[in-house]
Amino acid sequence: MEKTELLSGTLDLLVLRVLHGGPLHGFAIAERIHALSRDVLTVEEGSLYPALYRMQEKGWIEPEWGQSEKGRRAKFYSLTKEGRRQLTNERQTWDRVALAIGDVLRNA
Amino acid sequence: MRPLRRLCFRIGALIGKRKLDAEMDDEMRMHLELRIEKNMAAGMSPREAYFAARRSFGGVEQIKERCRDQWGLRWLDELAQDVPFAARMLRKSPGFTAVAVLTLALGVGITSTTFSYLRATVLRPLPFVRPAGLVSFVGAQAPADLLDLKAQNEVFAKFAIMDFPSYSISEAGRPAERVSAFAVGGDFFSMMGVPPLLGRVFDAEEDQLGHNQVVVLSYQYWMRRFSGDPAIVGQSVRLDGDPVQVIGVMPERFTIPTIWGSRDIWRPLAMVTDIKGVREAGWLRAVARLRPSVSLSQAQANVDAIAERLGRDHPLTNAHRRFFLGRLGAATPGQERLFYLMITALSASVLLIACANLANLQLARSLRRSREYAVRTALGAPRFRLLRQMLTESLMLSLIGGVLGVMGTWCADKVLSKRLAEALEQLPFLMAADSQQSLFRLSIDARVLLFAFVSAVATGVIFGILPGWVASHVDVNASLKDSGNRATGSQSRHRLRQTLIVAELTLTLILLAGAGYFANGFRKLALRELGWRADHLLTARIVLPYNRYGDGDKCRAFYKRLNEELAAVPGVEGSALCDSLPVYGFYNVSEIAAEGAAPPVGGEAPGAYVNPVTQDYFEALGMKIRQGRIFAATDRYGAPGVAVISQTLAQLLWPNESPLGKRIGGAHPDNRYWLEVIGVVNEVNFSVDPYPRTHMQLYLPLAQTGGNYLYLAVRTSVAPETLAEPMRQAVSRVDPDLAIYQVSSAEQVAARSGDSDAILTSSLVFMAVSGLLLSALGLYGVIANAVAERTSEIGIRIALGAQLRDVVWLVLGQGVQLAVLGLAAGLAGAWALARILGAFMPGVIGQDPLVIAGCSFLLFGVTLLACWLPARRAARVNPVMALRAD
Repeated sequence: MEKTELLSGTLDLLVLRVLHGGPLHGFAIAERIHALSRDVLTVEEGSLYPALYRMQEKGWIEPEWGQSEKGRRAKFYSLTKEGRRQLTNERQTWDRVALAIGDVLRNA
Repeated sequence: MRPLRRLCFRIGALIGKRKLDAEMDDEMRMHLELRIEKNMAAGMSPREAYFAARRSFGGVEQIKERCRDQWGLRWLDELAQDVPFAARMLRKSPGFTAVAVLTLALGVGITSTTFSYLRATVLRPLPFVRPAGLVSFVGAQAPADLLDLKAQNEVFAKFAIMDFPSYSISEAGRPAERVSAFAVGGDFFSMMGVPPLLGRVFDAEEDQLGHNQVVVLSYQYWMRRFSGDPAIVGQSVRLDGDPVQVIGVMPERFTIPTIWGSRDIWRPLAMVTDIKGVREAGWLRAVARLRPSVSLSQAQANVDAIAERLGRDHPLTNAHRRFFLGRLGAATPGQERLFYLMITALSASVLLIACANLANLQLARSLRRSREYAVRTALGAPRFRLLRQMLTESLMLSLIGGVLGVMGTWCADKVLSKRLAEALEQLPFLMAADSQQSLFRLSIDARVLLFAFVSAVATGVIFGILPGWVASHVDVNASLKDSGNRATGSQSRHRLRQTLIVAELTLTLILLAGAGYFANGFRKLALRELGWRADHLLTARIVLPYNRYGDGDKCRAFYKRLNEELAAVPGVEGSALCDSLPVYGFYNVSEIAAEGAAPPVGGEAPGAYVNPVTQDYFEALGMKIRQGRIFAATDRYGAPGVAVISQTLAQLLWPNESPLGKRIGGAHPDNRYWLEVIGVVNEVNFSVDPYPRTHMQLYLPLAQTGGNYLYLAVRTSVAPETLAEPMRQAVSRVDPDLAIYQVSSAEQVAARSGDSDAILTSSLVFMAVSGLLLSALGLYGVIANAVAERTSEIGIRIALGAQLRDVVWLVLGQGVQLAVLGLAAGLAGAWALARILGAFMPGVIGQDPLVIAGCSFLLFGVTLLACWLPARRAARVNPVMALRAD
């Protein structure tokens, strides 16, 4: 399957949504997005980590060191209360935009 | 909350930077390993799996860097590089660093010292409740006007009328002394909102005649007279012989010498009924509190409306009378404030010179470093980064300079405070403080520190960054292609440096001239022929209260008795009472004419000081009788009026004849009262008042004129200080309720006024010398730099046969050109300065060609020296070396 670049600005939304299910480490976040998109979307590490640090600095997610399923020390990210609010906002925005784009494409 | 947390994040990141880096490494490594495992699970060989993972991952370091960027860590990273680099650069050029730091320290130190002085005097905040709402009427006002304003205004919440009387205070078992008082309406204390330290203050009811026998002491007076004894509250003292009760003591900070002078006591004003209607003369002052929502301009409008109404109702007195409001503390004392501000401006010019110097130094330095900038730019440093590097260096310089400057200020404050205190301690038997005497204590407080810090940083940053900005416009190609030791500054950059030097020299000449004006003015003042003997002369003030002495026989009897009592004191050679003394200067000037003379052309009759004196006055002061005789016992009240005049007055009125037997009097046309001139004496100069309004003097017998406000002069054969106490006792024997005050020997008065002059002069001289050194240093820097830049050119000139003299002139000429420009501008400035300062101190400061010439020569000489040193170096250039150096 051909790799598809993420639309700009959507990475934060996807990360927040994936973390909504529970704490994950960086690799797992990338894999989850890849899997949930049925292998369409690939998250580049070069974009993922800066995004994680940015969201951390904004207070949407917080890191915690823990054990991965294979017993490895890993940094898990989880949503903060603020992150949840941000997720709701971004999701509503995305729905509105997607609907609008759909409308344009259908009716033009 | 959020910005705060971000800040914590950043600070945390800065502190735990190593740990953070390690964590990032761990995180990335784990990611990589998981990816490799996944690749192998998909069937790749370990090697393939590794490379595929690395490929998709990209550069770990770049990712880390971008992560750090997200936290603003890059900024911190770079700062962590900048600071040690800046320190290294500063250490590498110790000469530059030392000069820059000293320049800053000097500029900041001098300016903050002046600022701390201003804070202690002019800018001190008022200790009252909501001082912004307090306004005062400018100048003295008539009682009736103030009562109308108080009754008719719609803008003042409170309104207090004030007078400044003085009393003799005495209590059982102690000699009387004179106190300066502050008579205020009952509203005054509640308006100021400061509670008493002890006891209570008086209220509106006690501000009524008959109820006003109360007094509140100032802290300073309480300490001085009663040694801070709290038991004094409730006790009775006598003021001008009347018993009054001490009801309270005000706190120390309530005394503000800069507004009304320091007063010893507060009394109720209790206005007498017969002065309430007085509109012709004004001697009272008023202060008021604005109603909450009323602005100063609204209040002024209301007062203007009342003034207009009064003008209609009382056209004779109030037709053109207006009342001006000013914020309390801001309106007074205008003259003094302006004078202090002038001195501040002079000291600020030292800071300006320092700034110009610093700018020049930085400019020269950035020029020398332009190759470094070019290399760094070529290697990809953004311009912003270069600028920040320079900013870091400048900030470090300013902080070091600022700290040194503050330390200097601290030392200067200690020395100045000590000298001021010493100046006052030289008057050990000064019994009551002179009413206008104000004690200043210098102190470095938060504001002074803030001022010093801000001026240091602002100076450092502005004058560090601007040249850097200019220098960072580097043409990388040109600069790198250039042979190296000559990253030639553009013409405009040279012009900027030269302009700065000219400005410095201009300011320096103005500073030098300012110091010179004061020094020479005071010197000439001290060398004056006084016309009377200041040694062995003890002086004091004495007031005969009108309610007990009236203005007739009782006063005359007192003059006579005091004279007799004093004559009996051992060590007294003679004594006199008089209206004014040449120690402090004369007061009253009248227009004088000779009897029968035609009215003067142009209408202006000559003015002369009029001084009523007792018969021994001339001898006691050691004056010379030129013609005729002086007053005798026969010139008593009721005898024909007589006068003694000074030489110039005699020559003016009767140019070619003897004045003896001629008659003299007031210059108004219907004058019927003429006095016979019986003698001529020499002119006197005043020790304190350096600018008399006229040089002509006219003496009248005190017995014929009468007088209640008098000076006492005692000629002694022993040290005058030792007779202070016997003199006081002699007065006490005549009238125990009478006090003498301002007891001083004539020499002490002169020394006291001279001492503050000396402090002012030496401060100014110090500033001027600092300014001179700084500009010399600056000029030296510019010329030396120019020589360094032109080394190869000079080498070529020498190789082509230029003589030593030619080379020296080549360099000197450049400096002389700048010096001449600076001198020309400075002369104009010095001329203007003399005009401004001369308006404040007309007898001391005027256009002074000697000072101007001296300062110009000094400045020119110093600039020549500053140029000659680099010129000599230029002359020693070895052409072979210079040409090979490229």
